[in-house]
Amino acid sequence: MNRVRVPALAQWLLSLRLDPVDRPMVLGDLDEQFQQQVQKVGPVRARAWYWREALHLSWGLWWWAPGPATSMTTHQRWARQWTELVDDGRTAVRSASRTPRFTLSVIAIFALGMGVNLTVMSLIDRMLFRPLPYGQPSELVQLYNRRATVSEGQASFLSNVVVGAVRARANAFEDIAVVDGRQGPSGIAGMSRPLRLDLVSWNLLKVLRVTPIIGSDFTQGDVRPLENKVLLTDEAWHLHFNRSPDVFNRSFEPMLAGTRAFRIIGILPRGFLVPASVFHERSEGVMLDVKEDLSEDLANNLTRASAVARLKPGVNVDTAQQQVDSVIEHILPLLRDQRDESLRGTVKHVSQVLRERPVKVEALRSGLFFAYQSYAYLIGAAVLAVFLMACVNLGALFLVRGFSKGHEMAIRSALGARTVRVVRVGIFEAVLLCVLGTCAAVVVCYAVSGFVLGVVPVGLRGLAVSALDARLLTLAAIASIVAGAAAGGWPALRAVRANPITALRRDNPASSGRLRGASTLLSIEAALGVVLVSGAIIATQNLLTTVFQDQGYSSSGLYDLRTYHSPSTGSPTAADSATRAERIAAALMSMPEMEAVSSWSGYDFPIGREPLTADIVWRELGVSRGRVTGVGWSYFETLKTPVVAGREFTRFDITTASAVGVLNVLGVQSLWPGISAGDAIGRTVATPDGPVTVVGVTQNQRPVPGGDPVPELFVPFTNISRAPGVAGRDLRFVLRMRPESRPAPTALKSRLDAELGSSQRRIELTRVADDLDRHLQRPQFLALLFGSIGALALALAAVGLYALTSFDVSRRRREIGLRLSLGATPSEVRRAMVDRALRPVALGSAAGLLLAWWASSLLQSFVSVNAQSLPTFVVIAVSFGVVTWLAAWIPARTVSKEDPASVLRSL
Amino acid sequence: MARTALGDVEHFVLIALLHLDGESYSVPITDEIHGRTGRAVAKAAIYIALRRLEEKGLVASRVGEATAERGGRAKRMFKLTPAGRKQLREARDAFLQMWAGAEMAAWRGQR
Repeated sequence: MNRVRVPALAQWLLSLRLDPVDRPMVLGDLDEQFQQQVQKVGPVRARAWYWREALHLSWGLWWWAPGPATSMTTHQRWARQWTELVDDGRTAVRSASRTPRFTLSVIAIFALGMGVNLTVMSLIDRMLFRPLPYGQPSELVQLYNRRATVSEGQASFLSNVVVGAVRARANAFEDIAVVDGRQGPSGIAGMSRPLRLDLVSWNLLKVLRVTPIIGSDFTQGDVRPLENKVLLTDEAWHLHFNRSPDVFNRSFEPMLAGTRAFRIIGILPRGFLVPASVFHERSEGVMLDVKEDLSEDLANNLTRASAVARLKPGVNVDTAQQQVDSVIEHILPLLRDQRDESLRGTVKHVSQVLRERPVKVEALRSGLFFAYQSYAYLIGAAVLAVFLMACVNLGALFLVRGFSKGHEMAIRSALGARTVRVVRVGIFEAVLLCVLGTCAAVVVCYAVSGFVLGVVPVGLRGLAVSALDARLLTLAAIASIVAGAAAGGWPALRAVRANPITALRRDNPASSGRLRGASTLLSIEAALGVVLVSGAIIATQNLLTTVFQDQGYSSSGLYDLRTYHSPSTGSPTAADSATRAERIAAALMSMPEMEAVSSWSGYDFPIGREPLTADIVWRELGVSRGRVTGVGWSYFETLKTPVVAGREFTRFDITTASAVGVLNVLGVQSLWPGISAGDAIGRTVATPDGPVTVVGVTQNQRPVPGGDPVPELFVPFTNISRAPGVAGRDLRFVLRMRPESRPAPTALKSRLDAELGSSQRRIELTRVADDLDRHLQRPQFLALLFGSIGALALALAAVGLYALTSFDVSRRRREIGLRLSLGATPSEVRRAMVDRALRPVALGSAAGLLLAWWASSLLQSFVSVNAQSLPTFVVIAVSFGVVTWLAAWIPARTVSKEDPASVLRSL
Repeated sequence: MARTALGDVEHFVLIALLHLDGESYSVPITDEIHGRTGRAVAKAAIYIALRRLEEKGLVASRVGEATAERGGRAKRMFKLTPAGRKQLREARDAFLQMWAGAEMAAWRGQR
């Protein structure tokens, strides 16, 4: 008759609860009765019976303990359990304190893994997991039709006219509010710096369902008030006014004379986040946008606004999107019928933008964090992998320790210690060390938070403030307990499952044999290491390329100067502008520290936003992306942009507003594919205002760092019909200062005033390198972050591989001694050891390579990087192989050099 | 005599041992109780009862032989001690004395 096997899992679980002496007898009883049950009721029901009995027994034995149990009350049983727990805890503490080096290593490794996770998670928590601080945030959506990554982070835009139209016509929304991306003029007299206030429409808080904790919300009647009405955040109230109640209902004088006074009407709840379209420094409050009345008034059109809307209950994003689409279709003909001449430009602009870029409705969370979310997921995955590596290392360390402590555990078992208690001590010890590691990580995390906040991009900084909350700490505590239980429980369980008699024998083969489980850990470690390190290297490489790539001009000593002056009567002619520009340039050049000066006009150069729509000139030439910039003479010389063919503009071209142009190389390739730069000279480019003759070709310049160059046509800035921007009244200049000299704005202004009279109202001076730095903040930070993650992963993997391999090889001294005494040469022995150690690492590295290849294709869909770099993957895998080779070779060499007889004698 | 008072299962286990010639292990004891009372007592309850009885000195145990149907594992054989037999007798006497004259009353409502 065939015996039916008992359910192995149930038997294993039960055996954990049984002490070693009773285990065979109880399992035998159950086995015997199980076979009877099979005969009586069949194998399926017999298995169910076995499970029931095993669980009953496990539970019953938990409650029942040897001793005078009959007289024990439930309370006494609990007390006994508690005493045992405390005893086991003490044993664990003693055990940890006896091996300080091991204890410190475990704490350091776990603190590293956990610390990186806590620090990074606190940065990305708000973007990915934490509910937005508004009422029913799932009903909130963002409406936009243009998006861009800007220096501060990101921006979404929607024309104000569209907001008004959708608000009036679409019934999917309860209401729509507007947050202008700019932080308005908010300087209060007497304060050291202006408050960072976002301009918002009167109904923003109503849409967000946020109530001020003190004071009142804006009302519709507040539009166009005499004073700037402000709602401060709780944090700003504390920081600037020390929570003084005197700030309410009094008028604050503005910093700038002639602007509106301020009135603080309330305080926003702690943790309030302005759903601004553009991220600046964390906002300190909201200010009523006095120009904003949420109407369809074209005369009141703003294009930097971003709209936040609340969907009506039961309406989803798709339905809202359909409604918005139909509203846009409806208003386009209305815009075409607009007859007001003064609004012609606005109508043209709005119609063009709406035709080219449909208005999109998107959940507010992804709308607010679109530029960061893909990186946030990527970074989150990377740091979790680091944590996993730390756990694998922990497992390896405890495996080795469990192996070393096998003898001690066998003695405890032989002396009658129950399995559960021996395993519990192992778990307690590991959990204790993990919790200590987490505590260290939390302390370090708090200590370095100032430094971390200093290096994160400005946009992220606002989100990261006080993000290490109870939720994250609880998660960290749970993770440390689970990791500790797994890392400590497994080796302890293996040790107690071993036969105590075998474990206590002096020549126990386990004490010198191969570490079981080590191969698996080595493979996992290698696979994780390859994926993580290669991913980090690729990401860092790409980001550093962005940081250090040639922008097409030299930013060193370069300044952007904007001069505003009172308009003369009537519109300035090209000659007026040229004359004025020449006078200003001459005044500037007379300053000793000035190296070169040139004027230019436009909105987005030298550094600006990525051009979203091609200039009309390029569109009509059939090129989808491109731009036109108006420049003065010696512009390229000032920027140090090489002219690759022809010449740049002369003074004559500028003063006469000649119909000549300079193209960049990409522009030539787009217009006349296949011809050289030199051949483009003399050709004409057809523009709506007549043909332009190409007189020069320059090297490409990048509109934004990291962005690709676009086809570009430069024309004389005095050619007002072609050149964008406000040429004539407000003139812009690029200044190249001599090395080591910085222009003082006041000195510049007095120089210009002296030269041009008092018509110069004010000037704005920006250092181009500062602008570049702001743009490069994000790639720099990400490069630093990915670089750190990569270095950490490399260190963890190397330490883990080295520790486990070298321990494993040195445990096998007996085998080495035997091989040597049987005639093997030392080199054969070393090769055998290295081969055996390399096998799991090679397997893990191969799996890691496949995984990294797959992950890199995933990476490309997340972020724009050149990810699949086979040489990088191979170099990483080979370097792990080298570490393992060294780890196996060094101890094998030491042992193989010894006399075989003495090796065998020493065991 | 609260400390040595017998619980239901303990009582059953001791009587089952009597039926099994004074010495047996947990499987026949469980079968005996089930066969006579129809009660499927959980193994955990049997082990706990046996251990308690052993601590009270009412049974004694030894490691028995291994058999193939048990996967080659040994048995723990339990034997009634004189104290166990005495305790059973006392319990039986106490029950019989308590029942004397009460049988009719117990079934009165059923008839």
